[in-house]
Amino acid sequence: MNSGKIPVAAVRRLTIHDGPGVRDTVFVKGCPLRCLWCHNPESISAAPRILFHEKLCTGCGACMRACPNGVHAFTPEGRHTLNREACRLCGACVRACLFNALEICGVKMSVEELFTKLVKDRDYFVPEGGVTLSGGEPALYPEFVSGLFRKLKEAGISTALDTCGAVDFEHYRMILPHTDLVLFDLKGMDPERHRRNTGRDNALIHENLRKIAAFGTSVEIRMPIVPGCNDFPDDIEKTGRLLAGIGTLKRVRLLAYHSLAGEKYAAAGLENTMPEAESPDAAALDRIADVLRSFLPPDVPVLHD
Amino acid sequence: MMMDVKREDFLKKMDHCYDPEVFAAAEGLPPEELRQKIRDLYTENERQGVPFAVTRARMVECFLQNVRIAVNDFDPFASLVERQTLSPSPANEIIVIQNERKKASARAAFGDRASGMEAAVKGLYRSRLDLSHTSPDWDNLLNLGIPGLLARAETLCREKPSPFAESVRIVYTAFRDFLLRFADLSGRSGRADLKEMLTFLTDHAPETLRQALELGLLYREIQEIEGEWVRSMGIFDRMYRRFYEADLASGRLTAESAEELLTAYFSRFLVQSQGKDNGTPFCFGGLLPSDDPETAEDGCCGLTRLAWKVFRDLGRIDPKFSLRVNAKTPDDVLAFAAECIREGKSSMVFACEETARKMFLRHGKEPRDLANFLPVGCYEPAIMGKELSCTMTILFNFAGLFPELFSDPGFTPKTFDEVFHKFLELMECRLAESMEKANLLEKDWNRVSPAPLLSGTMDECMVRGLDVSQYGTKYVTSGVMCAGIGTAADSLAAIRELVFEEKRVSFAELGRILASNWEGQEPLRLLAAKRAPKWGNGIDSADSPAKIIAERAGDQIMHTPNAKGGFYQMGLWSIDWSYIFGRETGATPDGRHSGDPISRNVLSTSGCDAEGIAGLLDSASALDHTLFADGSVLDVMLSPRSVAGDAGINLIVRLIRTFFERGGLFIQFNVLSPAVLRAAQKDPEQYRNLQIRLCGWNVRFIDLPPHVQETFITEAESRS
Repeated sequence: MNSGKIPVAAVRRLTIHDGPGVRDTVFVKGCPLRCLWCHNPESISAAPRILFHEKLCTGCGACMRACPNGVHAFTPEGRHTLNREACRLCGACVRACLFNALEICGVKMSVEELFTKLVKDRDYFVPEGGVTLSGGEPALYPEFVSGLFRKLKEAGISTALDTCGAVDFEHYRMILPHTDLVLFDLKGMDPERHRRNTGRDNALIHENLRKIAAFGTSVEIRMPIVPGCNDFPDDIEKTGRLLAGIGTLKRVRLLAYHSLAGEKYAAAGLENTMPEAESPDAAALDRIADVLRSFLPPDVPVLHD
Repeated sequence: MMMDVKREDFLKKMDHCYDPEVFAAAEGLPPEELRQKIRDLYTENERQGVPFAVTRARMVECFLQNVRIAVNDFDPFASLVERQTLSPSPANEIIVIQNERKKASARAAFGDRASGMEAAVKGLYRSRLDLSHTSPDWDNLLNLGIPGLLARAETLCREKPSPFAESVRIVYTAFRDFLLRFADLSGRSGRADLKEMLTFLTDHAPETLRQALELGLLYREIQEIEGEWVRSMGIFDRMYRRFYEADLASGRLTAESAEELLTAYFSRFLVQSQGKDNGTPFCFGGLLPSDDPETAEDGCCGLTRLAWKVFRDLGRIDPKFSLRVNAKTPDDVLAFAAECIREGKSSMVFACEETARKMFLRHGKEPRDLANFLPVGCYEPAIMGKELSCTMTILFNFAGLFPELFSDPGFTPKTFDEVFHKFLELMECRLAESMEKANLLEKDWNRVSPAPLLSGTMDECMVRGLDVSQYGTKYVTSGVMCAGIGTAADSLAAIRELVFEEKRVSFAELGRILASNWEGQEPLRLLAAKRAPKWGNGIDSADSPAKIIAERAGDQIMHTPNAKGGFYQMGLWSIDWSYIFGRETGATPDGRHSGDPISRNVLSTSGCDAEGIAGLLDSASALDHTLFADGSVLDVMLSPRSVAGDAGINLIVRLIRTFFERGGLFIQFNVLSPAVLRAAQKDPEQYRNLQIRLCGWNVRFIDLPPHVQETFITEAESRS
């Protein structure tokens, strides 16, 4: 099957935060949700995008001279501005910038290119690590993901799919036969709040979670806890009830909200939508974990950092 | 065992057991008088034409008879020798005399060109007589004890009399009498237990763990009085296991009292060393001696685990630990080591047995000797009891070759291959020159530093009747520490890209630009520094020059005979010479300014490892580490976040295992957050135990000069 190429935001090697063991994590671009607190805003759009890291810019003007489309300009005060609409992603400015202040996010990669890169790290993955596809939303590219996962599995490498769940189940049906673990993001039970927080309601997401479990694939639930957005007691209890019915649930991980990704919005030239909320403290996370545990079998741990 | 003192009080008292007032009224001569007595003895012996080996032994004897000693009332290892008289303090007249003879030897070899005790070409190499990288044969010390070693010396005196035989007899007699001197003082100081133990050791080999440990501590102290640093305390768990297990079986020790004993031992070791002199490693684990390496068992045992627990609980900067890792190394030991590293106890280095085995065989070592592999100094492989490896005979800087590469106006290369060819030619020429110069110094070793105490532990020395300085050991190797591989590879990659591929500057013009330290050429410098391929990212265009440099240098070095009947061997590491050579090295084509540090050990240039740890390991494992019989090390900086939780422990273990599966030889870690390092800069007292594994030895972060502190903070920031 020709899986074509997909836009990749980054490949992070030897991570320990995206599934069990030591892993390589591939962040793809393109996502059906618009979560207010998104930590990878550069991955929301599938289109490649120029990122500008203002802290690294020295104001030398090399980008402005190199750009054929007049994207880069400097205010009289010396501030670097970008006219992103004019950008044709030719990369001339990136090559001209010697301070790494500019980069293009969204290199198109084929299954073969990614596989060749990932398979080199297989020795690190022993015994329980492997490759995680995250994003963005990798399930938007079912042919690609199933093709890559199949090759990885043939090479003896464990596979994990990190998904928001908001994709037609037919996509999952293609991917799951080659997937060892699904890292499934749950962002709240109240449909209206969910729509406000993510741009979509959650019916399809919950339905997909049940279907993935019915398919027999192991699931790890990942719940971002964003104070004032999705940490309401009734929401947590309803989440517990939903998870009680997920027979392949292996663990639940609470991800404490933080606002450290703010600079990423600036770099991508996007409006920062992150809520003005504090990180939940350990006691708050413990309380949520306790509620969830009361619904779950004892061998399903509820974890947080 | 801690003489009924609470642990905290014990450790506090231990910190002060060498305070000057302890010795003020002690028996023996004050340092200045002792110094004069030794000087007089030396002058008189020289006047009489006494062979220097015998004179050296008599100086040691004189020292042991007259140095002020003390015992205390709380310490199981109470034998205290006044510290300010010990090496490397110049107050030890034996070392002062050794240095005088070293300088005279260098002057005789090089005349006015000699700079102090070595031959130096600034920024390029130092050739010298390395006396400091030794490990005695610890097995012989513990198996034969002082009476056994003395008996061996007396036999040699009868059967093959020589100044050497006489010198060994003198020092071991002096050692025995020193034990008696201490025993006598202990008896009079109310330490009957100590008196009994020390008296026993004059007539017997040690039989208990406490006796064995005490003998090791005293041996170390006396060898350093003799004038050679002890740079390995042996393979600890293998050496002391039988004593430990016998003590447990007989009830002499319980699990609790054994832990107390080791706590006293390691804390005593720290106050003896004060974490100075670059630390002394204790080796652990490794395959036990066996006829068939396939069926050999790993040496990790209960004592390993106990020693590591004590090390962890003490949280001190010394001792430093090495672990020989093989497929049979127990997972729990490796995981425990990883936990220690994560806690910031970075004073440990991991050695790959499989690569070491191939490396030793390639360099002519016999298979049956390999079970006694241990790192001396930082990570220089040696065979305990069979080898004096002199690992820093030559310090060579690959990055220091560039000024000469550009200095010949007649050299107008048309291709990159011509440049690389010329670089390799220069390298071979300068390496040969550095080794020729070192040979002139090594020939004088016996005149400078005969070492009867050390030689007396070595089987081959005693069979042949030759001191280690007469090349009496089975293997007599000399090390060439090669620094700056990353800077050299990056510089060559930059020349290829800027001069030949992109044609931004001519070769001659680049030479002029480097001579002016990139003045007025910032855009070009940035292209070299930021755009050209960099070693340490798994990129072939930068890794390939590094591989070729290492192979050519390694091959040349290992086939060059030293003056001792052995061969030179290559090391790929730099320790703090990345800073020293850096200060002496002009601007380099990789965008580096004159005076900046060169790349450290096998690392990338600071801040140039865009691919992170994985890229670093890709590049480092592209090298053939069996070339590096003088050692090679990858030192890895990790952020605390990247190794959090159980998964983080697993990551450290996987980094070690994978690097070794890919042919690495040594690896070490620092787990540091920039915030903690900044805080330590502001409030040194609060962070006085914060350890940094500085390229080989562990030091306190607060003791580093500010510019070195900054390089660690930069690295930590790039990881966080």
